[in-house]
Amino acid sequence: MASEQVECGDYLVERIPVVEEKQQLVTEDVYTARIEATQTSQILRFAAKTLPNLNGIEHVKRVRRESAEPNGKWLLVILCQCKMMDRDKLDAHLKGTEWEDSQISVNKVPSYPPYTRDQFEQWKTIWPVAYRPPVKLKKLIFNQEEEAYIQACLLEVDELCHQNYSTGSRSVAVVIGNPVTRNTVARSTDRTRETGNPLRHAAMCCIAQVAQGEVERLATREKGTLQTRNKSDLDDDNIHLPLKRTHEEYDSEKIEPSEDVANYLCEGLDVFSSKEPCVMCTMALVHSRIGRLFFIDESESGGISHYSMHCIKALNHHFTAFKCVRLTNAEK
Amino acid sequence: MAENKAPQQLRHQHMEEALKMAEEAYQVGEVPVGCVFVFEGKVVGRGRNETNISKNGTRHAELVAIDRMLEGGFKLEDFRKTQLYVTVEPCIMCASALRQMNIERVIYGCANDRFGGCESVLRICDNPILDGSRYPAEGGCYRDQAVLMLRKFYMRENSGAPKPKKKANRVLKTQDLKLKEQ
Repeated sequence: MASEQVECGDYLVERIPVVEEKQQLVTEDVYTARIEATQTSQILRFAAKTLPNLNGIEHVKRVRRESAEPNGKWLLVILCQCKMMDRDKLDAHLKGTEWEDSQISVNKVPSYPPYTRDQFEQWKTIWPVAYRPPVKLKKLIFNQEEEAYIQACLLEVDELCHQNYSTGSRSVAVVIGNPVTRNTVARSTDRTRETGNPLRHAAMCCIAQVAQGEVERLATREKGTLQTRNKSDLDDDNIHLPLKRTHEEYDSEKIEPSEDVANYLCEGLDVFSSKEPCVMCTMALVHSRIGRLFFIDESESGGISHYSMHCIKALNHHFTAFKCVRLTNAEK
Repeated sequence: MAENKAPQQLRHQHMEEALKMAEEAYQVGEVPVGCVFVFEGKVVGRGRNETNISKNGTRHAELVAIDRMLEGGFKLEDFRKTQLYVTVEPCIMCASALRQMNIERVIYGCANDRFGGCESVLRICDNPILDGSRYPAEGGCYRDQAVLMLRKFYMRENSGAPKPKKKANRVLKTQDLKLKEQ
């Protein structure tokens, strides 16, 4: 499928598709009967009473025309899924009913609901399906300020890496940004060597910084010097505001962050990393409820490349992931 | 038989220690998960969840214990001969962290259906491609006690989590748990 790319200054930013977008057509078999249009409700009533319900293929249209002719009188109607019973059993059900001779055949239908329009256009040629475009699947657009913010954060990441060139290997650096205030709120390089702790990856250190800031902010508030995190706080560079909603919702609805918007961990914040986070760090980002991840170098054993952990259905939080390529002067 | 019984007893003893840590977490309003690290038959590290107090969703029992052990001078290479006893299946994050620490073995109580990284959601512990070393993970030791602790916790409201739902209608189920013996 066509990938979505946007240039943010020196970087080419490409959204990483979620699992559903990469889904190839998979089909399963159903029994169909050939009927006239006037018999439709009758045969559906018969199927509902006698045959097992359709399960997991709710996106599939129950009835289709047999041929493409607009006025063709013959319809194909799905009786039940082949996995529910073999042909002999179905024949036994039909025996003695008016559907006994209605040209039962086996047809293929798409197993999964289409996620992208391309999938829909392709899959509906197998058998008609319903399509609801997912709300999340919007075109990738950054406004000018956002592009500048993304570029600035990525540049900061690159700079941190270069400052920490130790013993020839490029260090990993992570920056956390707030998409509403467009400030960076945490930054760290990989600290495993200096601390002797193999788990002090840059992302883990950044998450800890955000948490520490939040603990301190709450302590100050309890002392009564700072009542709530209100609008004026947003102007303060040192205070970040985890978001209850995604950056897009804030942008589109112009919601002012308010007191009752509970701040929770790194909710809604952006993470910029010089390297794709490992499985530990990617899951740490899920636990922290980040909004978006931008990384520069891919990693084969990383949480996104290896497990698509930004969009695992079984997990309770998902985020958008972007791969970013620094454009050389020649490419620009 | 007598020879086999001793390690089994030791196992139970270690998991009871882990359960004590979970109980401690419960008492202070943290998700009740606890763990101990065992090296040469002795408990060398303890931890329990500290996510609420730290406002850091990554402060799980395992990572808390590892940090304290390293700060206390436990040698990195000794993790290779160290076993983890934890009341709940390590989440995906911790399962990966344990590989990066080269842990020898993981024994856990109940499965973690929402985040589990040893069997439930992903299988991190023995995937050949990932960073760190693979380790065997085995669940079921004092499972029901671990489940009961979690159920008790989720009867209350998690003050640290966003927008807690009202739980007035919840009833603590225990009939399916065998709590007397293992």
